[in-house]
Amino acid sequence: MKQKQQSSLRTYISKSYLALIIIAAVMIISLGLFLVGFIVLDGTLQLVFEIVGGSLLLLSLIGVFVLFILSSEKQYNLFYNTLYKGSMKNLEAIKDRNLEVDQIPDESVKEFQEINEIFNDINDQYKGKIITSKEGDIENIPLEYFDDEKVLVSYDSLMNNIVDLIIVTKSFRNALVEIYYDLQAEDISENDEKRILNKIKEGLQYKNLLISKNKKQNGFIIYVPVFDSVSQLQEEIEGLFRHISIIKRTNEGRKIVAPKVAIVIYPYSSPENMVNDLAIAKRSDKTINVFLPSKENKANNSPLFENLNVNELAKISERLDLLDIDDVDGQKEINRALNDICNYFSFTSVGYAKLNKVKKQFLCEYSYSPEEKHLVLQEKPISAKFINKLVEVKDSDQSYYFSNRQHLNDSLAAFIDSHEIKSGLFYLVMKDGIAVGVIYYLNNDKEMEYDCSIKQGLINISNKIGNYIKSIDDQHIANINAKRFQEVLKLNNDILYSVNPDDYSLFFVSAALQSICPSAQIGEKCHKALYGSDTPCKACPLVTKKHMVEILKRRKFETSVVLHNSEDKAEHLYLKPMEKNKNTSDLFSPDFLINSYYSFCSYLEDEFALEHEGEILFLNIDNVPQLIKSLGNDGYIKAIRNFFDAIREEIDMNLTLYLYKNDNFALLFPSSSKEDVISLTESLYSLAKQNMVGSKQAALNISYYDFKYPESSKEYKLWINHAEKVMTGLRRGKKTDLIYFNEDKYTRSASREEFMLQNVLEAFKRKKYFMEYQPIVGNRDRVIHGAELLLRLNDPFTNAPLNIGEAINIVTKHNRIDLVAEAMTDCLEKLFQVADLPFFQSMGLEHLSVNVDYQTLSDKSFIESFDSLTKKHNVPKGFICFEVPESDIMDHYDEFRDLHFENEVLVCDQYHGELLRLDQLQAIGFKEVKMSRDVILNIINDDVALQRANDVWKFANEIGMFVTFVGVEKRQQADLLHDDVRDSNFQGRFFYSPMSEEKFFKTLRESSIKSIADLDN
Amino acid sequence: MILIVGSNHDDVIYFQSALKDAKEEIILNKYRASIGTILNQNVMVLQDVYTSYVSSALLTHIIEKYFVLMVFVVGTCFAQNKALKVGDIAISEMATFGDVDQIKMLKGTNLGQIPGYPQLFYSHKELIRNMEEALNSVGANNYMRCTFMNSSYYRRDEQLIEELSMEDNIANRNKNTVLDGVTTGVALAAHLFDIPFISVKVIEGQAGQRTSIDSYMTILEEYSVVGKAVTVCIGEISRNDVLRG
Repeated sequence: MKQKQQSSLRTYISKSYLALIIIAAVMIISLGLFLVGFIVLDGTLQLVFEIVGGSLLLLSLIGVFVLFILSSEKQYNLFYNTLYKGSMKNLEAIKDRNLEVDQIPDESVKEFQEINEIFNDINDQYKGKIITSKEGDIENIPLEYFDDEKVLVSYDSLMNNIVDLIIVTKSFRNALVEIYYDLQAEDISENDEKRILNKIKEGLQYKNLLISKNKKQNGFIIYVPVFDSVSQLQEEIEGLFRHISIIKRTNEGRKIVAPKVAIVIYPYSSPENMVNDLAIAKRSDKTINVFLPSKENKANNSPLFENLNVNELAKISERLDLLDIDDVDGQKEINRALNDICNYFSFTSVGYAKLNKVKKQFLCEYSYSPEEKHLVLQEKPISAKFINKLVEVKDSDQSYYFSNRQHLNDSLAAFIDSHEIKSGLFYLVMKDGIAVGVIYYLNNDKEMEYDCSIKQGLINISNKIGNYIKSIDDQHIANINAKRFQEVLKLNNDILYSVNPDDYSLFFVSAALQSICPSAQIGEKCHKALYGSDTPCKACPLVTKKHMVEILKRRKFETSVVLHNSEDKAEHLYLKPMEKNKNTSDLFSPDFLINSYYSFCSYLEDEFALEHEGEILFLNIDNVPQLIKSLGNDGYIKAIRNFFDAIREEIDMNLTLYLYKNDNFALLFPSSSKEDVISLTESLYSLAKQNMVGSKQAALNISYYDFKYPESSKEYKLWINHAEKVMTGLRRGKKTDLIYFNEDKYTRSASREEFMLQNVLEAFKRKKYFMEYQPIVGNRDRVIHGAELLLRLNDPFTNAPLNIGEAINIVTKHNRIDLVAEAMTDCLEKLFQVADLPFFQSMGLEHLSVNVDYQTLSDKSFIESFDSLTKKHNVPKGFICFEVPESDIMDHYDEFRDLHFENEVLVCDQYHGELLRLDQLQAIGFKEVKMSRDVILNIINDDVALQRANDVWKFANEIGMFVTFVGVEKRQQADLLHDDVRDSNFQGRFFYSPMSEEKFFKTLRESSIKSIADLDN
Repeated sequence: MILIVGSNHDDVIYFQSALKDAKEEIILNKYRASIGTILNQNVMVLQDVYTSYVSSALLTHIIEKYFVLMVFVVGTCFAQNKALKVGDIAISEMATFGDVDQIKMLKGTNLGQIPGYPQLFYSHKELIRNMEEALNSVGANNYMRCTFMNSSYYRRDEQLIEELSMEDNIANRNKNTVLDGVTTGVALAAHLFDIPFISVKVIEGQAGQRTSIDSYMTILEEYSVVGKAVTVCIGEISRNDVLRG
């Protein structure tokens, strides 16, 4: 094949010059001919010479012109299109720290080929590498220094280069600290400045520390490039405090002014937000406020951050340090950490499996795969053989790592190949030399070449997760054992308690003892709890080393120390009843393992003797025959026990349960309010309906009877008789799941939903609802601009307000939302009859909001009646706002697109920002958001909540939406959210609580007078 | 010359600002002293004095060189008695070394006593009275006379107090015992030259416990009160004869 001939730039340029020289020569010759003909010759020869010379000259001029055109085009292609553009593209790539360069697309030119060879070399040399700055080298950052030490810089240059500074120093933590005074700039003398700066440099000895004056010139901003721990930095700053106060001269004399400090830290604040976060940190009242809004740093596409894998692991690991076995979200936190690792390192799948001791299998408890390619399936077993092999081949740090299939132990090959795993890391959770769990990070599509620091980081994290899993298991086993122990003691009616011999405090009390003596609680002194004495018993067996005979609750017991164990520092005391006629065998029901009827009577006897008051809730199981039929006798007993266990776990560990008679039980507690008894019964109802025995349904139908004692009875037996008569009479009715209040002779459903439905429907039908108004005030002027209308219903029995949200949910569930809509228009109609629009507008009221949902807004009859109401009373556009919860909008997002309201404003209520973005809300017609009280209530102590509130506000401002902060209950919340620049509203009890119509009008008048007075000022 | 001694800058900031015609002098190539007048009385304000070792050595030199007539010690101290609160003002009635035990070195030496020196160094009664009147005049009523006990290791003060509180000990006899690190050294130097001294310090917290940065704000407010009172006291003294210990 003929090779394409390669040209050369040099050759081309040489040729161009040659052509030019030739043409120039021809021009000279032709000019010469022409001149010779013109000057020297005459006649025909003159003409010939002139014509030839002139023609040649013309031709050479044309030649020059053509050469110029051709050469320009060629040069354009060669130099501009190919060389310049090709090189520029690569230079820009290098500027962006991307070292993968493209070839110049023209191999026909020799020089280009040479350049391409260099580009290839660059590609080869820097493949897999990235450009980073030298550690801590900030030389190239354009800071404006004011001193030779290069510590003092200008404010603008520091603020403008914060992001670059953080990138350059490339450490896990950088801090921006502002030390500021409650003074004007002129109050700080030059001497003070000098002194403070010296102290700061002395106290914060960090390389590349930078200090500038702050914007208001009443303090200093310090950039700390690297530090070890937040507490250490805080301590160093606290150490400055005794040296940097300033004297201020006032009319009252000299005042010593100490500084305040605000600290923000990367990566808790993103580099771009450090300055804003510092401003937020300064709003707090604290002397030193360390503002840590977020512990997450999003994965960054910049290749610089590819090199920060270890730092990313460190961040994840740090989160796990906060894990506590009592933390209800502990499991979620572990799963989240594994997800983050999986996403960051692009594993195919991560997860963990635990040993199920009963089934003797390792079951996968959690598996995560971003692309749903689970290499181990959740809830499926992992081969125990494989785990045993892993134990054999693992390293001493409990891990097994293989970077690719070639480096795999043969004994593991079968499992690995069968699951198509190409590389991975396993970490075995060991306990007493036995594997009880395994954590895995696996790939099915690539090798895993990690250096030792990353591998170690993964192992460290796995170690923390493993320890947490073991702790949870241990705690679970300890709880089961403790419960079993108590049940065994109950079966034998053993009265046992344990004390700390140093201070006699109780730390274990058997159920039998609690039954006799309810005041025996953990932490109490035994002599006080059992015998009512402030000092230890004189005959205490711990002191005398002899048995003690003592009367406890009118019965004689012999107390002795038992269960000696050299490792156990506690002392265990056993009470043996001494009376021959009475014994403790009746203290517990052996079937249900709760206090017996004997205990019930004994307790009641004591209560009556001491003239105490209290309350008893009797529980009568109405469906015993059905339960025995479906579960058998043993199953029925188990069902009842499960129910009581659930009561202790979900409601109250300390509720005392008694077997009353047959299938009747009693709950004893101190005199309580009606609301508390109702709340308790509703909880019992829920538990009764969810009751299970194994996997079988074992729902209980229960009738509840509430009695107070002693009422008019002087003796407990008479009281029991009276209660029994009442209950017998009531039991003749066939209905179940009802609560009967003996004091008020009132009966209602034990089911909250049923009760709510009955009462809500009734209340709406009979118009037994009313409105309350909660004013909304402006952020800056604190004047009432609007109000939220709150529909209220009361419980007819307790007269306490019902949860209106719950009521509306129930009504919606039963397709009676029209009642709510009707109630709302009814209330508005009444309101506008009392006070018309001109009145509201003259009082400065700009809007009224009502709470609705999609169901209501899509109900034609509601819209029609609402429209006619607004027309009738000339309600202006934008006066009425419809508040819809964020979750409801999310559920009906597409349907909201079809809803259009000309006069009313749509407001997103209870906004968290977790379901919908602000622009998404704006796209379907929402103009405003009301930030959820759950977020606002926490902003004082939770920096993440404060950051979220500020972020929402900032973004809302940018896109033209308005924000109301709901749940402002304290001054500090208002101060943290106050902003002189951006407008917003506040709603909360710090300003105004919900109030009646009359009070609202009065408050509105007062507020409008205040706003007029402010205007005048 | 009246000498005012403090440890940190904040201890003496009030007095530095109150000085007229202030000049700075470096003493022993190390210590910055501000010299000027307060209410026509020559005053030297000294800071960065930590521990009684330094205070006794430094003051021995300064008293002799600058003809010091009396010494005020200012700053903070720690209370032993829980009734003394953060922000209360302690006036030294007497001072002793809490961390000295030379009993075995010389027969008859008491706990806290350096052989050849008294166990207790007393502040001048009239100076105490003047100080109390001055505090009253500036509206302070949260002051009390205390025994100042020297301590060089604040972190373990609880144990020290416990030891010293046993039976017939100083700390037990006087319930208002406070700990600081400078006063008794000053008292020792003052004793050598037979000049009066008084310590007027703000209580920072309980002995042996960490104090928070927020309680420091309370202390700073009291510093102003102490500053005013000491200034008034100096004014009073300048009208009267020089006190002799």
